[in-house]
Amino acid sequence: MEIFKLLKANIRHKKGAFKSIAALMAIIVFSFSGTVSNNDNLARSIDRAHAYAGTPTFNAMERVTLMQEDLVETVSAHPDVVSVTATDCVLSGGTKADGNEVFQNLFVYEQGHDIYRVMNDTFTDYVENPEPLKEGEVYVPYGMTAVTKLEIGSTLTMGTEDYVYDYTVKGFIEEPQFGASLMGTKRVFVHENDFKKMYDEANDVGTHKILDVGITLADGADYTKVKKELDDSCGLAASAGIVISKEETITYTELYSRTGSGILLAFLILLIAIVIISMWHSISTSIDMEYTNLGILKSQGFTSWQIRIVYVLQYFIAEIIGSVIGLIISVPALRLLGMLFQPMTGLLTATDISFVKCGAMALALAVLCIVFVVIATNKVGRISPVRAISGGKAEVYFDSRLNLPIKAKPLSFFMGLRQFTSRFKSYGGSVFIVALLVYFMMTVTILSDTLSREYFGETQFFQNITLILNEDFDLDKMEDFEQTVAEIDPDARTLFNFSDYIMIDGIQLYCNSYNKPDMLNKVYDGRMPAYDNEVAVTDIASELLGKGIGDTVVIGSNDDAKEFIVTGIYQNVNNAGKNICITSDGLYRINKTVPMFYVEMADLSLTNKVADALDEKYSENILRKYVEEERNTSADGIFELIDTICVVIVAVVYGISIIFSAVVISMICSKAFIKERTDIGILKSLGFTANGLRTQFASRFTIIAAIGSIMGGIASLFLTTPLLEVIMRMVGLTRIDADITLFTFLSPALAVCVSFFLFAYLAARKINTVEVRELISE
Amino acid sequence: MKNTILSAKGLCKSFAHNGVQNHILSNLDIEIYEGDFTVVMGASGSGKSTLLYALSGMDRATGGSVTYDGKDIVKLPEKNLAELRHGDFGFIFQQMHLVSNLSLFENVAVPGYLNKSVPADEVNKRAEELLEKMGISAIKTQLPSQCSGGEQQRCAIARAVINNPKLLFADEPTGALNRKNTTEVLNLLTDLNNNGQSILMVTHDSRAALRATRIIYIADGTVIGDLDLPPYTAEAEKSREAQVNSWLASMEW
Repeated sequence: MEIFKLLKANIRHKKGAFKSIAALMAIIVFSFSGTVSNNDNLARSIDRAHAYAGTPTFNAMERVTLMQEDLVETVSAHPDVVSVTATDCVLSGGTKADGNEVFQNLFVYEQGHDIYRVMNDTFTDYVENPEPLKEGEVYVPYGMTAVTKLEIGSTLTMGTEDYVYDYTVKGFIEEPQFGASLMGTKRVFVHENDFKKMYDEANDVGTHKILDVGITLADGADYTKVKKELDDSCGLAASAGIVISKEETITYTELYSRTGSGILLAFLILLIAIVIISMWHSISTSIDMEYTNLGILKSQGFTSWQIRIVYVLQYFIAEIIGSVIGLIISVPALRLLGMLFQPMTGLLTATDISFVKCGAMALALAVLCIVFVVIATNKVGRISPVRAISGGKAEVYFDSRLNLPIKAKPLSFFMGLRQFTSRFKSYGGSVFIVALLVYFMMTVTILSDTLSREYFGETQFFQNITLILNEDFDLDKMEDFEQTVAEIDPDARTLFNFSDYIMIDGIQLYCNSYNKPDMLNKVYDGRMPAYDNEVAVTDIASELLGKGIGDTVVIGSNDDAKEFIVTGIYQNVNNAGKNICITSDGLYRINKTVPMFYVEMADLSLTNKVADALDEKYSENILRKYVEEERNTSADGIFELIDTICVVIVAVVYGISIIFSAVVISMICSKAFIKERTDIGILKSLGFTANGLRTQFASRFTIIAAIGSIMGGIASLFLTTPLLEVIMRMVGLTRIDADITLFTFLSPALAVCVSFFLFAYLAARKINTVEVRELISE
Repeated sequence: MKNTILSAKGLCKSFAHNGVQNHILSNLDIEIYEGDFTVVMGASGSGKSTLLYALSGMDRATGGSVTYDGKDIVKLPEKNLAELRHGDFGFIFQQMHLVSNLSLFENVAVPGYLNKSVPADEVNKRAEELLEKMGISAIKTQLPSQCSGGEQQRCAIARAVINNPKLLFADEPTGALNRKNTTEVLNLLTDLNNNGQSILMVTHDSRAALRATRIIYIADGTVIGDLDLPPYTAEAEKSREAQVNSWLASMEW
């Protein structure tokens, strides 16, 4: 009973600390509830969508002209295969959305609303009994809205120059396999008559007849092993454009959501550290200030443990209240996260809170904090009732003897500096908190820059002219093509490219081939391939293959397979970093042709002239031509979305950091104010104004913020790259060139310093209430 | 004819405690003269410290006026009061109240820095001189907590006069000191007064009151006695003590 009386009195008299701890916990619980619940909701959406679509264990998109006739039978006969579906579709390139080029291959199917659910106009629910498609209409996956500006009624163009098909978008479907915006291919659905026409006209150059073989394996079967066995028995992967498992598609679907969550969770760990430091400081100061009262309690028979339990209960209650508030405010946050990530995943995702999981985590966090409270209150045991009753603690002492002089101008700054240096130990925690905040703010700023276009390889190349070449094109003509462009626009950049999945040492990876491999790719070790028997691999590909520079790998399938030497490690995020790069010569060596020629104009006004010249000279090699006089492509959509996500993450981290600064400062300031009340009175009696003293107070915390910022900046120099490399590995970035500029440092440092100054100035408003008469000894 | 440096008319100060109004000063009239060493005495709770704080502008009176330099300081805004504190007035507390994290030198110099019309170098020079005069220049880099009570009070006196105040207020400056330190501090104050410094000191120590050129006695928040004395000399201390004690006895001290 006596404990509860003390607890009640403590909470009543220390409302500030109580509210601050509750606020910090609310922010933490709000953050992890947002991220954890978002991940849970996405996982449920994925399960639900795959269950609805009956997704097989893996799909092989077989080229009909290349596949073995008995492929389906052979696959069905495999002992681990439970069922096989075979669906005709057409692979179409040359896609345009309302006239803008779309860099995605589309698999075109008949109808589809019976397999995949159609979403409503606002993407908040499904349409009950959707209408079947009419001729000329198309259902496209929702994920395409993230990479194109498609909307209902837009025109989607597919097909080759000979067979161009324009469709009107009727609606968007939830397609869980290829639907994520990061997938380079998509499934679209058209009327059966349209499909039949397209299928019949597929010429195996611009459009291909494909058999979508869906293979479901028995429970416990090893996908990799079965696939390898099927490769050997019927060339499953060799004749397929893509072989992809359900698990792999889930990885793509979750990629950005998981990356965003990973960043926020890393931030959370820092926030938890900050809460613990703040609590430690609060308790330690509180015990110092309450020394006499605590000593009196002891003299009246209270044990140290009884007093410590009061502290434990006080903080525990604050944490529980904060947790509940955090869970409540995470409801709108989840909606925001849903709005951000839903178009990227292509799935309708709920915004439910995982109450049980988040509640359990909040409780675990509260228990962790309580352990620290128990440790921090250990000094209660050392309180001497005798000393307490005879006037409190021992004489005032200062933990720092750093004797920086006090100058007349600016006096507030030097007085603030002295207040800081004379109690350096008690402000050490604050400096550390700032360092953590600035470190993470810098890290997300760098992350935002890292995710910018320069890391997306060839996509930085603006394709003003795109030529799809036919099989008559050969390597000898490459120089002529380039010469034709250079004669009109000498500064234009040109590139021959082929990108597709390919077998390398029996593993399917994404292959980029260029006539100038080092033009757009950043090599980190060794060099990019220069000859037809050389290959560069990413770190992730290198690990998958178990091969490094100087090793030999086999690229290609069956008789076309050739040995290549690994010459370098480069970075490219295609296929989440699972890719390789060879030269155009190398591509011919494995009997594949270069299908694309890109021109990036230096002088945009010459675009049509160059296009016409190419058309005139090489019409027999050009299957299709796209000309864009402006430097915007539909690929901008994905970057806009990524940019938005980056901006939101940076804004969230900055916002939370500033809120944290406010709460921590108000906690520290209120303690400092009580501790220094007499000094404040003395200074007032000497002629300092309340405003001047508040400026001093704020200066002190600005100095703390500045020192912490410098420490955070130094930490960022050494620790940002390793942290980002761990987080960004998921999207294929393994080498981060953290470009730490003065701006990278100044923006978070200024944000923290300014917020520290402002919040400390505001928190010091109590100085106005200090009266000199408090110094009177009657 | 003495010049009035500070005057109060109808001065009142009341505190409300638990709903009960306590009148500490009641319609008090007083005039403080330039060059005087005025001592205010009275029994405990008579309101002498309250009077000192009201006159010095450290605390606001609840009624009446305090006129300094033609202005009623009761009505002065915070900013002007702050200017008075670091300009025309100096203050010495019973408990010294030095800023705990400043060295003795800094405690003296910092109020000097507030006076924008004096260059920092001059302030530093004067602080050095004052510390020398107070006999504590050897320990000027020490923090107050490392010094004795007497040393701290001498530092507080130096701080109080750094800006050459027109009037120096002292609230029981020897109240927390031993006999030896008390004498030293009183000698310093007497020296200052001999050099023209106007001083208004509150004390309940009759020995300290001997240094005064004028003693005002208050009871129940009002002036009930006023005694003028010649300037203090050590030689005349005994006869002075008898005169003062006799007067104090008449005041029912």
